[in-house]
Amino acid sequence: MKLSFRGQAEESQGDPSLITRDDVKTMRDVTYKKFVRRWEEVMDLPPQTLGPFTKPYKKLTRRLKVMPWPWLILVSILIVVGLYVLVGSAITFLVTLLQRGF
Amino acid sequence: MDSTGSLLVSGVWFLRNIIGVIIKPYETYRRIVDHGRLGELFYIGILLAGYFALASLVKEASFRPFLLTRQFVALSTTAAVSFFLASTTIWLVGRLVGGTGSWQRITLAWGYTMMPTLIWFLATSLLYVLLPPPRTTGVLGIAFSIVYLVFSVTLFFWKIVLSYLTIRFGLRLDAKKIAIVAGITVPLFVVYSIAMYRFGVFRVPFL
Repeated sequence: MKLSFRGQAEESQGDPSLITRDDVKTMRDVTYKKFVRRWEEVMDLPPQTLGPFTKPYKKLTRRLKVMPWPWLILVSILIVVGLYVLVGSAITFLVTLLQRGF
Repeated sequence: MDSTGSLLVSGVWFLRNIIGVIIKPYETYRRIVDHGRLGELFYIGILLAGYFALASLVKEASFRPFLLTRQFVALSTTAAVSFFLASTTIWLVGRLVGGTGSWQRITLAWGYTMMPTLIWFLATSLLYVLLPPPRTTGVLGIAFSIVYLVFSVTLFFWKIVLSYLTIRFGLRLDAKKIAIVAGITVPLFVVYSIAMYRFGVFRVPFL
């Protein structure tokens, strides 16, 4: 799609594939409105500060905001393997209990 | 818009949000709290009712209508009461520490935290039929146990993430206040879960 200017738009009247200045202005308005809406959403929440833990907290939450599964599964594997190393085959008792837990 | 149309729109939002809480939980929870409709709870209720029908069959292990109906009513009533008690408790405690959200927003957001619970209970019920306990201490038993525990812990973390987002967006609280809300509500949920266990309704709390 080509961007047309005033003069060109006059020459190519009736061609719907061209973008006019008015279209650009409308797009700017829409983008601006989206930006304002997003800004208001972000500012609606109090900022998260945890003193010395703020940086690790931000690092952790950044990974959990979008597609958290690889991290959730990785941490779960580490915990379960750790549990297996600690209690050995006794984990089967825990699973038996959980399987009867519904 | 009439009630049928409104329900259909809620259904579309529900499907969109279900995919969202899996892929983009943070952004989706913001949308659920700001633009969600209470009608979405209807679809969550249908999914839960479907599970309770299946769980009644597995628990009773017989096709006697009276026993199945009694089991279904007991499970669904307890789960519904637990759900509203939990969301109301979170809302009340959140308001006490300075939260600003409405009960409707919290209830809707809490509704989506039932997804990990539902998936875990559904998988556990099906596995109970396919691979009934007890588990052996052989290689296969240990391998299954590890996979099952990884699955359970992953869903538990997902539940924690969604619960955190419920309080964060639903009540507009910062991390310190969220910790206070959790510190007050979790012991209450533990007491409630023990009561449910004593009554023989749920051994693992359906929260």
